Amino acid sequence: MFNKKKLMIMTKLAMYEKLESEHLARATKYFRGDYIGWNIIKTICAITIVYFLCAGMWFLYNSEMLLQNITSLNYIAIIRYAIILYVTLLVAYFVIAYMVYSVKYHKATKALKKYEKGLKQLAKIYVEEASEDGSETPEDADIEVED
Amino acid sequence: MQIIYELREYIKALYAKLDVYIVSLAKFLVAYNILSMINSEIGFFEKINSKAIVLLVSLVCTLLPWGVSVFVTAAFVIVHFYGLSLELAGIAAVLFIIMFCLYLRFGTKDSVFMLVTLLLFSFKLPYLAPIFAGAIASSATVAIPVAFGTIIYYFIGFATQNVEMLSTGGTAEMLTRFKFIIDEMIQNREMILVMITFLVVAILVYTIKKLAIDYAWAIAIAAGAIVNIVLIFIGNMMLGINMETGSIILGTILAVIIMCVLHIFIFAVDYKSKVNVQFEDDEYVYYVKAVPKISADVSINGNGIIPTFIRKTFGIGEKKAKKNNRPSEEHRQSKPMNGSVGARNINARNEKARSEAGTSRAPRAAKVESDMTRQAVAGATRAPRPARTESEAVGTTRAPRPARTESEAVGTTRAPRLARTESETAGATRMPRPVRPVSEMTRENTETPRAPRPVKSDAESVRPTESVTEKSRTTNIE
Repeated sequence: MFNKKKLMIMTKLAMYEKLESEHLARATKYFRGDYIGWNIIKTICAITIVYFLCAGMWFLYNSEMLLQNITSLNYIAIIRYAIILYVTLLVAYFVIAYMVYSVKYHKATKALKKYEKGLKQLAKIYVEEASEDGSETPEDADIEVED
Repeated sequence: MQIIYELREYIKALYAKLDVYIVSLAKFLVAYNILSMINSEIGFFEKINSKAIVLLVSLVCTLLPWGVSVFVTAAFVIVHFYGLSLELAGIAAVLFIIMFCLYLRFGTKDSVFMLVTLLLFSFKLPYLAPIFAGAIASSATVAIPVAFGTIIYYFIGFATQNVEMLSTGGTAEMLTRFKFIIDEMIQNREMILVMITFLVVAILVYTIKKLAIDYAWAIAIAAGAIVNIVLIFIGNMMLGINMETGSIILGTILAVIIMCVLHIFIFAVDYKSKVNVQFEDDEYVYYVKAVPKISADVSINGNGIIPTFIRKTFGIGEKKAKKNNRPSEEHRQSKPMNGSVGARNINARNEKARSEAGTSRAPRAAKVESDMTRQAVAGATRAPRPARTESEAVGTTRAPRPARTESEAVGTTRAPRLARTESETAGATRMPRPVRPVSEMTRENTETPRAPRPVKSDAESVRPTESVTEKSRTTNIE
């Protein structure tokens, strides 16, 4: 015999787990600080790669001018300009990444709370079933399987 | 409007049943068209410029997520550019890496709109891209892949227009070609204007769509179209670009029309697909298929793939019902009604009208199309009914009425009667038997027919007066 209510809760939990697997994995595998921190580090690496690629393209584009003025260039100013640009880009993307991943983690936490609520309902049904003495109640007798 | 509603529900039912195949087909068509377009426009690398490879790669993209199609498209573009010029391939690679690192880092959900933009440009419907993306996407950042798609389209266009310049020359001219490509792309004012316009339109459409106002969709589409035209016109004048005015306006109007059709059939409908899940407890392993509910009228399980409204319009599969609509023999023979010759004449006249009108009339209980139901529901005439018992027949001059159909019988017996209130029980609302006042009998002749009543005892049946509402409540019990 099957408990219809238990089956419905289990089905809904399984469906939720399947459809929201990304959110649930996010919230269950990491703490908030770890999740945001790890993704910010990945974003910083990505920004660094992009920055150096663009810098390389700029050097290629202006290579003639740089080669012609190689002895008269103010290298300190160029390096200072490059560092300021890099730090500005990093800070901007740090803020964007922090906001984006905070929102993602918040949504993941909400999804996890909903999932946990369903798990609590299921646990309650298991406790009720375990405490019964085996006598058939109307709830338990919803579906009978013919052998 | 009913047909549109039914068609929409039919599409929803079809999607619920065949969602896996529909999504796979969509992935295949998008990948195939994009790669074919790239091969036809910039097919400089001969080894991948073949239909067999495009077909094979499209089939692979069908089985994988949407993000893979984006990577495959990027790879095809870079490889074809490599066949033309190393500098072109390098710049294209940097462009794609910038897009992947700066945008796709935060999620690949909306990256498919880059492919959609490319596809719409190739179909000569570029102005549909930002409105479509803004209407469908889940965040305003969809404007970025739309902008990237625009850049890549113009990049491809630039490569096809400067094949000779880019393919000639040796290693010494690499730097020259590199500078030429960068200069042409940065100074392409049309590309910059279209990119900025699409960015603004996509963000605007998304923002308005999300507002909690009436007709948000319609306002979003209209606002997107107007801003699209206005920005391009202003940009044309300020930057001195000669974009065709007619094509802009016509393209935008066409985009609005397509969006309206898509809104009716796709955006306004909550499409859900079936979900297969598996779980277990201590005793069993459960394999569950959750299927979304759809309207029963447009079910496609029992009737193949023909929607209900088409079947009803063209009468497909309704031959059996048509045969039953003719009045049966027993109903044609009306029993004589005591003292009501006028009722008999009305009966005959109505039968004639029914046979002439055929099955086009739709009475109240529309699902059962039998003649008996039509008569019962119309209520104006009576057909012969089974003879009553003596106690019922004595003193009653009611016209004979037909036996109830299944639907009526079910309708009258299905709902259990609610417990009577005190006022009801005190009133003892039952028809008097066997003797009734003439005024009541006259009133009954004009009412809708009732099911035969069981014989009541004298104590229950004796009641001097009663109201019509109480009488109707009594009939509903049976």
